[in-house]
Amino acid sequence: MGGGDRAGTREPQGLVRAAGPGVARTVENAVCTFCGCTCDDIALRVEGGRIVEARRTCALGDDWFRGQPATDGLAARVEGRPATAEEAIDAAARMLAAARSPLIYGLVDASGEGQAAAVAVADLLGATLDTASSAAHEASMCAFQHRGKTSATLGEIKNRADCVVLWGVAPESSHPRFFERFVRAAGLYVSGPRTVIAVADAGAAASREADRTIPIPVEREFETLWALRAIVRGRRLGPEAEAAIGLPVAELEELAAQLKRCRYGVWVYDAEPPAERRDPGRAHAILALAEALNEHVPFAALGLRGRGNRVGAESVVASNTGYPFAVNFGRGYPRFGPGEFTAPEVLTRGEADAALIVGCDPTEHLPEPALHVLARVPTAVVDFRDSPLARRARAAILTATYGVAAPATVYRMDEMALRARAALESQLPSDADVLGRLADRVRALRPADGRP
Amino acid sequence: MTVRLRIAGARMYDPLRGVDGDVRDLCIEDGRIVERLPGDAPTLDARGLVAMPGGVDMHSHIAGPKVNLARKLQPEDHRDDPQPRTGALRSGTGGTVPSTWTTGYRYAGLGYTTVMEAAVPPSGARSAHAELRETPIVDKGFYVLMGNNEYLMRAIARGEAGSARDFAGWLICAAKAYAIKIVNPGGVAAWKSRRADVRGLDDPVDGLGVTPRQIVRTLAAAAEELALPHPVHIHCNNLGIAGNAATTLETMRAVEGRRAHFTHLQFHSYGGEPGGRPSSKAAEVMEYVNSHPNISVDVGQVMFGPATAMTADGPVGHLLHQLTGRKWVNVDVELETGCGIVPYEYKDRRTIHVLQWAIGLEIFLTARDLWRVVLSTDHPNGGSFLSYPRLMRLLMDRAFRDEEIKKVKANGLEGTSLKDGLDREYSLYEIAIITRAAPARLLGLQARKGHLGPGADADVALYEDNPADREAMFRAPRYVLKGGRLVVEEGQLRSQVFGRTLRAAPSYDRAIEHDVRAFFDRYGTIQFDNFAIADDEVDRP
Repeated sequence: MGGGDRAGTREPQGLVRAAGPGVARTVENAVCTFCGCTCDDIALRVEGGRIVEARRTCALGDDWFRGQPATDGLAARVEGRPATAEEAIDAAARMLAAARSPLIYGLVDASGEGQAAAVAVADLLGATLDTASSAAHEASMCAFQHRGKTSATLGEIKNRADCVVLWGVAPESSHPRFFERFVRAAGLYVSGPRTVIAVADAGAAASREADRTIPIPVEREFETLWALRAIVRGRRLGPEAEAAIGLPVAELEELAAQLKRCRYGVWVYDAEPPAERRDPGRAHAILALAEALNEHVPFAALGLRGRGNRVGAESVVASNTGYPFAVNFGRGYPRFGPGEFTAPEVLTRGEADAALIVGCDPTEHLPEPALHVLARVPTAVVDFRDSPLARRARAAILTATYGVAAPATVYRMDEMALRARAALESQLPSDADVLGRLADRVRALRPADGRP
Repeated sequence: MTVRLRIAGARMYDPLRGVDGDVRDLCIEDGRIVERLPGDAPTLDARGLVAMPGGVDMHSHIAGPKVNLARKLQPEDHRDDPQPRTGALRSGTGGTVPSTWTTGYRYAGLGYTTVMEAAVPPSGARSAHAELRETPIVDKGFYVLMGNNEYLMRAIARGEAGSARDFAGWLICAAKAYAIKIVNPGGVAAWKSRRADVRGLDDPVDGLGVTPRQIVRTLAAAAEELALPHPVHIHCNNLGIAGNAATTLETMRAVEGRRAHFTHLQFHSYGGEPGGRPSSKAAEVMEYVNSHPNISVDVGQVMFGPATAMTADGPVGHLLHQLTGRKWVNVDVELETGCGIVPYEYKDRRTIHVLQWAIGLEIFLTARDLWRVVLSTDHPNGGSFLSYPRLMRLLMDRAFRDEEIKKVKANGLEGTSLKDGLDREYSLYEIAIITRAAPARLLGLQARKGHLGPGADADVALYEDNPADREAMFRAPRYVLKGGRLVVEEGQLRSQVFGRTLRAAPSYDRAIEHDVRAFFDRYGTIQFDNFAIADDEVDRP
């Protein structure tokens, strides 16, 4: 016990096969963080410090890997001028330590280790900490906190689900290998064809993978879900309900009967819907419906999550603080405030007097008014991508890409953690290294009580 | 540099060495306890204090996927219990499911220095290790769930006990886990297949040609053959169901004399008919435990107040959701296990909760061999570990216990021996057994944990003796040392160290990996080569 492995397991070494000294090699079992499927069976061909070929990837993953920059570039900037990482970390630490109410924002494209280090920095500073995906996921998270969820890991879909409902989603474009890996593959308890039903906005294109499609008026999404739940629970709906849901009750009754007849069902929905569908009622209704179905058959609600390690951001922030995002440390301990300590609100209220952006491009996530404020706030950036923001920031530190050029713990959309090893070597530090050094620097500048 | 400390003048309670209140000096050098120190070594004046080895919690839920889901689920659990940042210590939140940092601090704040997470799915090992890296001060480890593993059940069904053993060995090593855990053998598989359960030890698990008895017997043998430091750790079928004592006793017989640990026994000691009103079968269950030295247990005491039910036992989560109407998390975990979470509260006005409380106390108070009966609340299922000091007072102080008995709803005590009064009072020595020495020994850690003899890790708790209020005494140790470092001084948590992760590394026939790889390739969603935890994922750099 306690010590090293005697017989032990073989340490996973990435199965690197050298094709010649420094010339080319193949890296097996690489992990793709581009979407929430987090496929870990990718083979990468590396030549001259670049990924030249990626096998078993989808189109999105292919772009992700092959778009990786050569890693001999610029390390850091201070005030827009080239600097060493050390100088930029010092400048960032000074800027943050001098602030009264800093905001740490992003974390969605960072390693679990880097995310944990970012929480440490926020704790030291008494900062507000928010993830870039909180705006999109807030409604789903709050619905989860209100009533829980009946769910499953992705492999349960593969091994058990004979009925898959696509609720307003077309995973073939957002999560291209979803069907190949989890729906079309033979499973332990299901081998024949599976029923795939799409329920989709009448005005939009539904998933091409569906056996049949039920068009619904998108503005009646909540009413349709709630009516379906009522039917699953044995209620009879009258004609007045039909008017409210914009769909024949008989059609919903037939769907409910089909769902209750399956052996194992999965309700696939968008857990990060576009702004106009971030209705907590919608998310709540989906979870409530899946829960009701479980009184008849196993039924999992599976919320699709977007790119990067955004699930990791929530998991790591939660393990450290108890809360998944929107955490304020201003009183010396974590407080949770969705709608209050979420970044758009903190920025537009004018509360942030410094910002540390970690692993995200704010222009992809923040609404225009918040971006407008952010542009006037002293900012430091820790990211593997260079960006206009990084170029005009007070300090910017470029890192090795997590999971590609630096090892990283990353979380799949079913909250399962994977370890992505580095396929590329990099001269750049990892995000965890940079943020750990930043924490050390801040600690030195703000000893003990956390005040300058 | 050699770091030395002499703890002078404390009264020692060190049951593994038979020391019962003798006043002795404790000599510490470089994190370990040594025979003697030079006369000029620094001295901590501990005259009048009670010294015990650091506490060992052998069954708790502090890390891994279900714990973190329970954190995310319940902001209301944390909100009123912040842990502020002070000096070198990180902030966090408490409640029944504290954040990682707070978990380590609060265990240390009670004088506990070793904690085992009792149920991690193999696929959750990675996040469990990540959380344990953030859990300071305590040494820690986890048990890995196997009782509903699809590969393992198939091997057992084929009669391949050797394959099952080698698979278990591989899984312990791959997950960097400490012991084999069984939760509701076969029942979680039935839950995932058709939202059903299994009831009897010989009921077939859906379509698999395997029974709970075979799972229990095979894994009990595997733990022995792999020479694991801790025997198979069993959460029986039918948790919480009236009449389940019969299942529990049958499971104890099913290990056929092999060593086995039966966890949170309180939840498995009920009489009555399924679906009906439970009664206490503590006497019957304890009669078996008392007379069978191969069996050890932890109690799983319920304490009145908030709790969070979190379990791999999917059907139990559903049952609690139905009973309480409170929010419910169910996650079916591919190929391995399940997960159920329901916020819960034990009330002294509810008959059933009082009965559960009384059954737990009956188990403690009728145990004859305390080396096989360990204090636990199955944190946070029966209540937070922060309630341990109160539980210790209930065991040590009959007058206090009698007062508490008067406060609870009386009909919950019907049929329990508590109603007629049990006059036993635990001594400090006996408390040291059930919170330190016994769990350390049952975990196979007795070389370095659970005692204060030379060679032991210098994990020490020093309390101000307070016979009038044992709860106050155990709630706030005056000093706590972890690996020879003072972490609690004058009752205040002052500094943090990082403990190590305890794991087993059994030898097994690696030929099994070929077949496991093929199973992964067909039915898994993680590559076999990406599954095992690497050395650099354990502990902090």
